[in-house]
Amino acid sequence: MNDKNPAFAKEAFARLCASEAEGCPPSQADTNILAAWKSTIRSIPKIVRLLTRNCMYDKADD
Amino acid sequence: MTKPTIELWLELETRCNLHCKFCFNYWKDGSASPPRRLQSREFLLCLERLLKVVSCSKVTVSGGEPLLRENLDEVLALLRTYGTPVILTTNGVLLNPLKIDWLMRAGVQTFQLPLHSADSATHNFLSGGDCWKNTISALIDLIEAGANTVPVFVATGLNVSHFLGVLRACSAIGIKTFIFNRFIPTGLGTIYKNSIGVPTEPMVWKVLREANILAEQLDLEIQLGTPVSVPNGERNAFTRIGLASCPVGHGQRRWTMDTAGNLRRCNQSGVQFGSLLEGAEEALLREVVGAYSQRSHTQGMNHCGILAQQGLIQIST
Repeated sequence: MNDKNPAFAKEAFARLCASEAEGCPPSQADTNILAAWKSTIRSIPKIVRLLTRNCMYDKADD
Repeated sequence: MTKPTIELWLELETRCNLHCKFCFNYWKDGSASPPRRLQSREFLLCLERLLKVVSCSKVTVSGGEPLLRENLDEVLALLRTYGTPVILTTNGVLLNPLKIDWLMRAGVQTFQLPLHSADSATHNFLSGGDCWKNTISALIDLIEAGANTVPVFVATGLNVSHFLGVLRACSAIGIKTFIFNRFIPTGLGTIYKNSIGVPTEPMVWKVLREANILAEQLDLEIQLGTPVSVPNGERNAFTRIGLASCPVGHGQRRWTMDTAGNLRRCNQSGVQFGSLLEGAEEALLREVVGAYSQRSHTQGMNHCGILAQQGLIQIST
């Protein structure tokens, strides 16, 4: 099995969500599949992530 | 003269392929007609009229479902001409690797996708369609493509406690940023509010306190999409949560443009400011020039007027 295949990642993510919904910890196998898949993905620069704020609302002053 | 800067919520499409029970599109409760859909040429004309007088620090392309809009490519091309960062809010049903690649090449920088529960049945019930698997698939495809991906969680009485599960699950695939929208019963939400529930402020506070702890542990950021009145003395405790304030008021920086070319102050309300077919951009310009520099220093925390009108929040004086 190719752990870097996104199809396997989708299945593992769906199973992980189902475990979460049932209040169970994720299986080690699924955690490993997602970790292997994630290692092939480049991370998003923080400056890009900062552009994500919901457009319709102001940030409240502290 | 330097153009003033606004942020734009662009309602590109009135149609949708889901039937979310909390949908805030004001016409969805049947009390009003949806805004008419201008022909492509007219719509682009309206958008360009606006872009000529203001700079948009970002445009959130929304709907309805914006991927149903036939001239999305032309709209994105126009926004690109003006160098505007684009956020796409989509339910993800129509996303696939090819479409994602095309959208990123067309200038979409951030994708906002709803995920209302790790539990498929809850997500599907709230979304009014069997779409959970599409969402899970789209999230993986987006991350695979290197897209900035932000799950949007709408907190109703039914699922508010599921937020922590969404954070944990999405963290496992490398997602770092989340939007938490407290349900505001407008649009279709007015019809379904009794069946899905409006979370009380204490319910929201409890979840946000726990979410902040989890976000610290997992190095996550949470942005509130709708205002939440944080108890006195607790603001500093929300180290990972960006609080929100209603922008509506004279000199506001956030505006909505709909499919008819109307400008509105609030995307949850049908009240129109004016039509870009009739020169509303000039009225907007008169209002924002000079006004918002003053406002930015006095803004503080503004509550959501809709929640206040419905008696769903208590505003201390």
